[in-house]
Amino acid sequence: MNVSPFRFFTVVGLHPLHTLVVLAAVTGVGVWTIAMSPAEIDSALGLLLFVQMFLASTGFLVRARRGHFDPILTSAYGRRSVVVSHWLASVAPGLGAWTLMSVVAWALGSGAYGSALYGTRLVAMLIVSAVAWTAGFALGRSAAGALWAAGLLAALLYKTDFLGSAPIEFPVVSSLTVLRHAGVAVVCPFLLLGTRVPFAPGSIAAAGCIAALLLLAVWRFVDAFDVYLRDHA
Amino acid sequence: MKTRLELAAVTKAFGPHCVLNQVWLQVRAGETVGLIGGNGTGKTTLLRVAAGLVRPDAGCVRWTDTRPAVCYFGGEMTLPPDVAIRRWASLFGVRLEDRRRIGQLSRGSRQQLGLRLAISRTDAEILLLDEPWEGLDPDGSEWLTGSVRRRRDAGAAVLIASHRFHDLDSVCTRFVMLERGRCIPVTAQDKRPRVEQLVHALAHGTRQ
Repeated sequence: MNVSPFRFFTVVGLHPLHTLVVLAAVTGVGVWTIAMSPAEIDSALGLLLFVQMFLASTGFLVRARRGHFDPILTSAYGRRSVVVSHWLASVAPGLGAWTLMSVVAWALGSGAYGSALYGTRLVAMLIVSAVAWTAGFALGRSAAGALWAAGLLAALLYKTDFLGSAPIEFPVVSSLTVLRHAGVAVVCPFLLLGTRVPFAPGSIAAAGCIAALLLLAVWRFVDAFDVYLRDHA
Repeated sequence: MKTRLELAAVTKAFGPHCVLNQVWLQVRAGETVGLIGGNGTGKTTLLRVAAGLVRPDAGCVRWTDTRPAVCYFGGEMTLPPDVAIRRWASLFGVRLEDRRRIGQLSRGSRQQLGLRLAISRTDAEILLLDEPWEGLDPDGSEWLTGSVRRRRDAGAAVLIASHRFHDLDSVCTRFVMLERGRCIPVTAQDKRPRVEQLVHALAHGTRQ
């Protein structure tokens, strides 16, 4: 097989048509929202972040154990480059929409409200793209996104105070607070949207590192997974 | 002839169930080996270990020099049903104008499509086929038998798991049987036709 793993996954199709339709609709509504009121950029991005939770959790192992990825897994490409391509193909539509929305916002003069192409907003997108894919690695399509959304909804219903009353105004905070805030940013990256995010210094970088470590862990241990056929001895 | 594929003391267990127990098997260039065994004896697992999809708990899989191109086809159910036939074929460098989805084909047609695309990979030095004759009509069976023979004559090493002894007999140079996790050669013991000997081996074990 002479095609690259990325091309293989784009042909096999990791996203069902209805999720791409939803993504297109959310992108359209987001662009319209930004055009009407550039200050509402975070509402538009938040909606896209929510959709990306489902889009990025494409699930690798379940489909691999149905044999759908056999041609690329038995090709000369190593399994690690195959999973990297799978991640890229999984997050590409959401990242594309994010970039489009950010460029439109910039072109329409929302610069006063910050960009989504760098800073905490971009970290939020990267966290969702990494965590949803990693959490869904061994699950079915969109399962990790659904579980994550349900967890956040439950937290919202129970009015969980994620950040507590840490003295983040002070220039020095304990490393425990930084770690706790980093954990919160990973669990609820929506809190990273906005121009002033209530996180301790260093915690957002730590959250980005946690997300990167999750990806790295899958990359490191992917060779250990058996791709046996389900229901076969 | 050069050994293309070698399984050396391969052991694989799923939980407490040891599927492959110290399996030794060599497949040489220009050779077709028929793999027989009852249901659940580990034929599919052995093929997937040979393809590098399942990691052995012990032992190893060796190829010639560096890892060669391996062509593995695990049956029609391994084809993604939602993908258009035209797009799936393009991955193998084959041009087909059929716009239907793979799932819209009959079982036999899916099997034939998967085999045609897998065998079209002329770069593959090792062919691993799991129950390839399943669901094929007589014409399809004849085409497959001819294709496997041509690939074998071109120097490919072929390992086929199947219960279709007549078809296996027409392409295989030798047979091995999976029995209680071990790979045992099926050798001619009398002057009965080879197919009868295979049936006998499967029914009574190779030690009978």
